[in-house]
Amino acid sequence: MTGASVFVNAPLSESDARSLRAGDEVYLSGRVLAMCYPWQFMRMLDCRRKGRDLPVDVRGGVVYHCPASYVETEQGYRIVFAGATTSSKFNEWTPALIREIGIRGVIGKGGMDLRTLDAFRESGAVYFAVVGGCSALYTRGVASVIREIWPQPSKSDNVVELELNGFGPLLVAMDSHGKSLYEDVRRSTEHRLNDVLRKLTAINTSP
Amino acid sequence: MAEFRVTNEEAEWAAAETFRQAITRVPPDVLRSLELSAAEETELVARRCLHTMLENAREAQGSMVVCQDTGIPVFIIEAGPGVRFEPGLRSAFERGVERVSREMNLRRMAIHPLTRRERGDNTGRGVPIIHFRMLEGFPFVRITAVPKGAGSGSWGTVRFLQPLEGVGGVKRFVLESIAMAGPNPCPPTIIGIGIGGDLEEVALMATLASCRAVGSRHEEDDIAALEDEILGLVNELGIGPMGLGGKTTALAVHIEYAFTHKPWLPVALNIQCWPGRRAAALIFPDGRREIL
Repeated sequence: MTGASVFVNAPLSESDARSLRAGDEVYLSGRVLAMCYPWQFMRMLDCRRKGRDLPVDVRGGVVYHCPASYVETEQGYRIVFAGATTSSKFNEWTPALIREIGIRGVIGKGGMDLRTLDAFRESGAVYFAVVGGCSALYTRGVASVIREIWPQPSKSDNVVELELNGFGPLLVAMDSHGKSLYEDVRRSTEHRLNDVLRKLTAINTSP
Repeated sequence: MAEFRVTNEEAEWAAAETFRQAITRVPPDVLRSLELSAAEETELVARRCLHTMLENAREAQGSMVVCQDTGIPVFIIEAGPGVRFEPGLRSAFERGVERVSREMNLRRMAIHPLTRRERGDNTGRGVPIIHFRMLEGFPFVRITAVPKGAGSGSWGTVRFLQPLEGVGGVKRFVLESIAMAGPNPCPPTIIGIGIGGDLEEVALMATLASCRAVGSRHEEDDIAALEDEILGLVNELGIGPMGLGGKTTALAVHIEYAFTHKPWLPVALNIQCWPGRRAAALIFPDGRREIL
């Protein structure tokens, strides 16, 4: 990691994805799919498995774990705010999303599990971490709301295709080479917790 | 003594304006703490995280939401015994929340727990959640909005320890809970700890503790010392901003306690995410009102 920022365009090729390393800071442009409910992932996988067309070309695509808020105006859709939700909720479906659908980027908050890291390594995909709670800043990077996919009675429940322009700063927190910054910290935290608890026990039991 | 009466118009104003302020403005004590922490961090990733948070707070600056999970609306009303409220107080709070939700196009986060259906206006049965505390000699009415998002809210927890576990048990419980939460509550967090009381009281004390300003200390020296100690221990875990490693896992640890039943040692944790969401309105007996 040099500290310089990298500008990336979606959709990503395999070599695009593999050239990114954990610790890189990225600004992303291009089209992404905002998805944030299990049913959306399940439906997408179901379509693919039953040989049905997906409503959008997702090869090399990027999924953004985003409950987007937008309104419909005379001029089209307008984004109100975008920000990432906790990604671990979607651990169950993401390996298949990578392997079967061809997604090469996931934007989210808080990381994903080792099975997902495996899929990233196998297929060539990465996790772009947002800084949580920074909706105001990240909304600046959303150029437009292109369309709703599988529209539901409530706009809050829709898959939405977004056009991003210089969206960031994103951190490559899980790369396609088996490295996850979350896993590194988790292991280190486990050791430190044991150390701290051991010291506490020594204090408690000393005469 | 003249009667101190709070009208529903004042209550609706307070609910709306504190809710609006809480979701669009990061309190100055939190900003200061984030700035100090950024200066202390040596890891590039940790420093960048904190700088992004500060930039976002500047960008939001009272007109955009800081975080898109504006959460479930929660209010704490504090008043002295001489205060009177009008019938329909809950409806006044609902109107205030609904107005801000509509004006700012907030996501409708309040739903029926089983059917998962919304009422459509960010209110519902029991929502907004309103806690009422009567404080002897309190000279005004203070209404505080502490909307709770899922990132941090999902990690709130209560446990009844065995009395023999003692203060060491409390420390262990806090450390294990924070380690388990990891990146999810958007560290660096403000950790509220309740000790004693009963089931509801220990949880409420944790909530009240989590909403104290960064830099505030418990009025009893022993408890204040414990707050400092647990903060040090939590930061030793090295979880860091957004769980990506670093020195700043928590900005503050606050404790509130109450006496409890002899066989019990209840302890509760309520974690405030880094935006430290809270805002308060004061209503005075002479009708003056102020947003803090």
